[in-house]
Amino acid sequence: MRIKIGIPRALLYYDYFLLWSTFLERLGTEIVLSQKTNKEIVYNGIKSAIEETCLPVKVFLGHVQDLARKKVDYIFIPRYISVEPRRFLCPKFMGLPYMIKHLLPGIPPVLNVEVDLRKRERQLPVEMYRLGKLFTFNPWKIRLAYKLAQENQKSFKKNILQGFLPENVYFNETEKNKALKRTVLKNNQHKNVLRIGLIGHSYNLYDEYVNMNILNKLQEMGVEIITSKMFSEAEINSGLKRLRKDIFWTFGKETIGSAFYLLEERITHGIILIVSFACGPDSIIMDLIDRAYKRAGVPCLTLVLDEHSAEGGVITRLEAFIEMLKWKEQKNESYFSPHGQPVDCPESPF
Amino acid sequence: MKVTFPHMGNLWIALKALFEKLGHEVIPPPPVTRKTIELGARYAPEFACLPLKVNVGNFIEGLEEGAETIVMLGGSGPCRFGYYAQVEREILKDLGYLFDIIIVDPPMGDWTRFLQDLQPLGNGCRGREVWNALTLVWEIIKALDHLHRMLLKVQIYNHRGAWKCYEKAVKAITEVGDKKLLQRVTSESIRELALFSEVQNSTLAPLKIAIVGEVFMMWEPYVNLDLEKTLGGMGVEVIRSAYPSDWICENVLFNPRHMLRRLIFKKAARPYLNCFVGGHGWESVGKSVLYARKKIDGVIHVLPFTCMPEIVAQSILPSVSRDYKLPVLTLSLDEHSAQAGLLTRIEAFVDLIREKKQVTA
Repeated sequence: MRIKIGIPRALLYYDYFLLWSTFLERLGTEIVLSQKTNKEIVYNGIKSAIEETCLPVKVFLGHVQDLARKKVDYIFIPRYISVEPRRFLCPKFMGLPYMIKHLLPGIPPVLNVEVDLRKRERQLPVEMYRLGKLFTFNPWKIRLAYKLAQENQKSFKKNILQGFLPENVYFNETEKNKALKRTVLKNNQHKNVLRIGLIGHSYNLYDEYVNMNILNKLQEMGVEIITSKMFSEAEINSGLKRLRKDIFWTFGKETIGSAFYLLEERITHGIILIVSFACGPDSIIMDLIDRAYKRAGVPCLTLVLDEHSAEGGVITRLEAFIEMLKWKEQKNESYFSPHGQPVDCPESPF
Repeated sequence: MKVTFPHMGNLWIALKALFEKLGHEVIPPPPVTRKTIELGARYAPEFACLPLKVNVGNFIEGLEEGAETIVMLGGSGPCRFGYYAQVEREILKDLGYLFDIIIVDPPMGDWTRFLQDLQPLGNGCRGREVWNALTLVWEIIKALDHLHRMLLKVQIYNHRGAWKCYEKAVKAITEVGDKKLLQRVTSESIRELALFSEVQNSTLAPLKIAIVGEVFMMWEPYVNLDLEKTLGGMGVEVIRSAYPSDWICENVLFNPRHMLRRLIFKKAARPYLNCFVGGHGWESVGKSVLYARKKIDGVIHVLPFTCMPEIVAQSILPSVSRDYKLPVLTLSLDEHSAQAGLLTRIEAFVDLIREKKQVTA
């Protein structure tokens, strides 16, 4: 019987699932995913977590419990310290396996891998080799699996840049035409279509339950979306030039870089920031983005998600935001209040 | 330059002395009050942690009093503190203040940049003057920490007297200008404080409670609602797990004794948390284990609401508590924390520990 390894469908699942699943499957294990996020998972997560933890981590705890119920042999929870030189991920990622161990006693053993590319790039293959040895004695098999995993991860990144959703790429459903309109956006063709930047972390942008299906909702409203995951390294770096101090969080770099790039190039008519309540890095990053947009007079909506967010409220806010953007475009005037400011115009439109 | 800086416990005394020695005019922000926190909470990001909000409040009040230059520490992550100064600058800019900000980021191998950042603070002083200023500051920090440690020991015997004596000493240190005077003031105050412990009742074995957690919350008495003083008033001997001088020994001077101590707490934390999680999360877990082994009666874990490293520690501390039968009280504080609620919790905690001690004795 093959060893069953459970991977929670949360947090960095939306970034690195393909890397790990290819690697582990090649070594002859069976990957078991937790269900899509649902009410029960969120409820279980909230119940077991410390109250002030952010929603994504609570959701993660729920997914781990779901896997525990599925009788997997191991649960795969890598400890991400850093995925690129000089930058960290959030401290909660660093302590995640330990938090899980202490908050959820009695779950199947955790497969612990450490990802720390802060100082050296070679750390990952070494660590993956260590992981691979648990399942096979053949170093060539591990090497092959590693190569394939890296290739898949690369092509995954390319697909995401083009605007495919991670889950569609994972399960080869790219023909489902769920791609967001990256190319259209780039060419600035349809002048009469509203374009919006969706800025946030991958696990908030792509988890339909957590963000209340905001991608679909916006698309139904006839809006073209570009997410902060759809920017190349070069674009993000050009956005980062506005900052005086290099940012030391990888996700922070992506969000602020893409937001500033959009601001500079004026590709979109406005942006929506998706933040989970009590997210440490975002409390600062999103404030910086918000201030920059406010100064430039570009509309920016901040949606804060937590376990109490209700769909109705979110829809109302989205609709209002879109209506106002449309109104602003039609009038072609700057009557629009960017955020938190009174509308300042010589004659009131009302 | 008219310099101001954020508050953090007694550190303002040392910083004031430093900048005055370097020939700046120093305008320390008024002590942290309700108003400071309200100002900070109004203008700082909604779910930023409390230290950031207090900083913003300090800066606003400092600038209102006429300061022109803000000096702020930076950092290299992953705790938010490293990016504080950047967002604080933008907040104050949006509020329309005119000011310079000098951000002292750790060198991270780039010493030329580091020295360039520091240059305006040097104010053209010669190396010897800078050295003298720095050593004076170091002595002040050490003296303040020493006095505070003594205060925590003796305050249970004569609460009001000890605090009066301590406050007098701190006030005197605020005004000293050279090392000789500092030494005299310190030794005098130490002698005075020591008198309190001589009259102690030897049959009384006081409860011992250690405070671990995020350092700003630990050091700034206004934001932790005078936790140490309150506990002292209940007859509890308080142990503060870290002092500014410890931090400097570990992170600036690399004092071997302190480095060894770091190794010891890391080893103690190993079964629970075996990695750095930013800030002082690792310390909180490791030191709690060490205190439990030392048979300390309880641990109070203080953290600002939404603090990332301490949330990791908070998730793990219940296991430490269970394994060592160590009572742990976590106080997550923010601008909404109120004295009465906190007092009730602390009283209940102390009562429970006292009961536990009597039962086991």
